[in-house]
Amino acid sequence: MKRRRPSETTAAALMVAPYMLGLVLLLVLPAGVTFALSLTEYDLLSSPSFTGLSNFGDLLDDPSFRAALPATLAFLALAVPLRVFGALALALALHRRTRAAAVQRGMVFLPTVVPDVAIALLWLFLINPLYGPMAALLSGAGLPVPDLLTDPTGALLLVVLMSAFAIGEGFVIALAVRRELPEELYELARVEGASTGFTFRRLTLPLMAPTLSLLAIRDIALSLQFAFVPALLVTGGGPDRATTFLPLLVYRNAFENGRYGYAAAITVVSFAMTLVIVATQVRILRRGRFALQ
Amino acid sequence: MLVLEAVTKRYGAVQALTELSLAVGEGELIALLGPSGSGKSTALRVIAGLEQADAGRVLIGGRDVTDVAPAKRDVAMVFQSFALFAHLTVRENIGFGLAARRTPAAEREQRVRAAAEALDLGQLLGRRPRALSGGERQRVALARALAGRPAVLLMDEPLSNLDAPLRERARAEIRRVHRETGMTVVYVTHDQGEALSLGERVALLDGGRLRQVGAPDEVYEHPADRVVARFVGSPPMNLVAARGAGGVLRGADGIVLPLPAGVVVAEGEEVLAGFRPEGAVCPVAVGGGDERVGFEAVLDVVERAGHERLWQLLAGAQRLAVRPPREATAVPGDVVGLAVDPSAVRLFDVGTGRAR
Repeated sequence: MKRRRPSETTAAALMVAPYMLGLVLLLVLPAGVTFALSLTEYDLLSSPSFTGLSNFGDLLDDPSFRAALPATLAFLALAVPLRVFGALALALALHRRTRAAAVQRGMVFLPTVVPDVAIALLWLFLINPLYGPMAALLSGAGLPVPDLLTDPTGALLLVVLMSAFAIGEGFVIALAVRRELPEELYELARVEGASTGFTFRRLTLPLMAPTLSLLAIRDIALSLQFAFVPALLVTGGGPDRATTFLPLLVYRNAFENGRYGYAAAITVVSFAMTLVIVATQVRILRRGRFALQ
Repeated sequence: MLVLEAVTKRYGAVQALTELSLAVGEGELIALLGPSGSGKSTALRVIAGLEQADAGRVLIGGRDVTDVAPAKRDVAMVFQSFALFAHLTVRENIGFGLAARRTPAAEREQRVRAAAEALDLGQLLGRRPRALSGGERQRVALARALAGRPAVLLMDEPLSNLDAPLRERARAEIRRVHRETGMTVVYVTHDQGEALSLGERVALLDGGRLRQVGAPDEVYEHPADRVVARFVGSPPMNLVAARGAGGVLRGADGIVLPLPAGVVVAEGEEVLAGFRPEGAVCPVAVGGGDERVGFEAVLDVVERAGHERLWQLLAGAQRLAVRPPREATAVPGDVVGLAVDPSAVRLFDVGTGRAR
């Protein structure tokens, strides 16, 4: 029997096929269904009934949505820069090939791979105003102990802080890019008398800017994922809806209130918002001196 | 001007430099020559302060800079990769060190311009490195090093990334810049031709040790040991194991070489005898009343390079290179006679390899 060798195109298509299948099944189809559902009322019990744009109309009058939108934006405005520059700072601090740095790199990555729920419970213990270590430390130093969970701003900052520990992926990317920068550039800077600050501003930052831009764009979506579990388990979306971000609102409406159509509408708005922010970012970056390469 | 005193450097188990001592004069251009792994780049990095010597001292302008940061040593460096900043313009690249040292903008611009003019880069100040040719990039790297007016200019294989014709031009450029600025230059290269043509003196390193320092002609004509003899010159010096025998040197397969005037080798004493390809007269009629000491060998390979030609001969297993006159007509397989000029013969100790 003579077997024909598949052409390169066929081989490539075959190899990409599983990924494409997954992409369609897990991303494209659900997204399509979500868009469709956003135009309906659906509670899983009876079949969806078409309601047009009324879900979106209701959103405008929904106080929880009207609170969630600015809360989400506030979270993004704080969390994304903190996470991106945190990843950068740690990558710059730990890129050298020493044994100590290797251990520390592992420590930076660890929170990203520990289950969110475990970390959330750990934080609940850490910040407990009665018996947590933070309270013990602060009162031991004679300082007032804030109850982060009852203060809206405190709760928001807490979730931002928690999300800033799950930066393993951004850290690894920044690390890899920093290591790709030729060491001779840094040696030249040393010989030419460049200070650490000058080297960072004039060398590292511009050379890593394309990477940081990509990380920032990606983080608009990613940081919200890392805020979901903390917001659900630690702050419970409160106090006073201060940490009810859009994903949590979707979750509440869908899985707690059974309003799947309404939840889908929030998802669509969420998606549109992300799109607008990312498009704006890209425009600003394009206009700035470091175009995405 | 620049002095290295017994500088030793090791990387783990590798001894990169062993007690390297070297003095470079004010305004001198010295070539550090050696094969890869010889320690020449390490020496340069120790001078720059990018590497810390394990032992020994570095002095620049009479000042002990052994523990001084690279920025405060008054040196500039040109790397093999040029190390240009891709995101900065030529102007910003040349002015990098001046900006880092907070030179006032007006003075910076003036010095950048001067450095750019000196290297014919005046028209390219607004370009990015990506838009430059290899030769232009090399000149930007050189201009950047000049802009800071350092006491010592350190160049690490600065022409290795250039094509041969470009290298020729860049070499002339470096020679001219050196003449005009009077700067002290340490030039690292693995290319013996480059070292001989560019260096006012050549320092040859091998295995982390200094083998010889001297003027190019001296290093070429009087190599201090067999390593230098084989590394300097293209092709390298012919080396033949021989014994003293009746006032001449006899090797295997009929090889016979005259002794230089005033040199005595005891009867039966073993030496390593060397001569440069141009030190032999070939072809020549051997015997037949000729007074010269000569022998015969088989022509193996004829190499032509423009006006020059080179013969590879085989005397038994011994390969010898000679430069025949243009009109020589022998072809591979012919037996040719050669006679070595007594003044061209160099003797090395069989055991130590040192010149004697």
